[in-house]
Amino acid sequence: MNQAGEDKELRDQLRREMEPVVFSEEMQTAVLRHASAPKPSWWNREIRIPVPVMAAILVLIIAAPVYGWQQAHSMKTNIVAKNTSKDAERQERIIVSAAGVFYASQLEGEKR
Amino acid sequence: MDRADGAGDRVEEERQRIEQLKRGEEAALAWLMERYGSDVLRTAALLLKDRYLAEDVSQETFLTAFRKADQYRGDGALRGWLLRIAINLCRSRMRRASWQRLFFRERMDLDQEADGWSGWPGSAEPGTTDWMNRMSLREEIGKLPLLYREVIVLYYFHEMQTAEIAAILQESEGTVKSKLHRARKKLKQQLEEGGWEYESSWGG
Repeated sequence: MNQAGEDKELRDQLRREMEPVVFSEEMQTAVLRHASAPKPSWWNREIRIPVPVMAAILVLIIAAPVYGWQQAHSMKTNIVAKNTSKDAERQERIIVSAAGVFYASQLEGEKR
Repeated sequence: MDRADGAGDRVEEERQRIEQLKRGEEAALAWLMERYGSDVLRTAALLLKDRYLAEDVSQETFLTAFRKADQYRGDGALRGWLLRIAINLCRSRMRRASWQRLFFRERMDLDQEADGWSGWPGSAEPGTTDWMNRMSLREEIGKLPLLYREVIVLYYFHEMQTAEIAAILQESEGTVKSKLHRARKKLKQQLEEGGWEYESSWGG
């Protein structure tokens, strides 16, 4: 059979198979009922949030506090580290003299 | 001459109904459903393979057409515009179904198997032509990927030319031609593997 003949047969067969599928009176009535319903006010409107958008929002909600906490934590650590190094510097000052190199604390002991 | 007059009357009637639709007249919506309801429902059924989803989508199609009638520019047939809305809604349903499959691991076989056909009126009752053919053509179409299913439904069921299909799918004619070529080849292969016999070859 040629291509046109095959196509015709498939078309006829498909039409026969789909014949029982009918847009019923009930379906028409339902559509008309929805169409005539007044538009709901904006705060009473049903919205559909796509799953990817919802997932992205959730990730943001979880990630933002975690990131903030990490930042705060690292800032605190930096301040502590800075203070510690300052103290250490102050405590362990090195004094170079003709007699040699000494820690300040050593010389302070001598003075006494 | 009469046929040309008939086509002219039809175009004029469509134009008037579209104007009514744009004014929000429900009579025009009822006319639209009367004329194209079954076409839209059958298209959705062939694309989604699920009776209830198809009914939902077809109703949503007419509601969308009613609410967005202003967006119809009149540059193509009214049926084409409705089919474009229906196909877009079907695509969105399929996307949602695949996300649900991904997250909830539900067995939603919209794009896997054709078991959504069960309970559909007229499915392979003994003694019918369907039963004689041993297999249902719509089920074989349902096994194709959605990409191919769309062009096959528009080509075979709506008997559209590639230019019309391209306008509805908003793709180039070349793309449609190549998709249609591959889809027909795949469908033919499926039918042959399933033991499909053309009626005219039954007589020998």
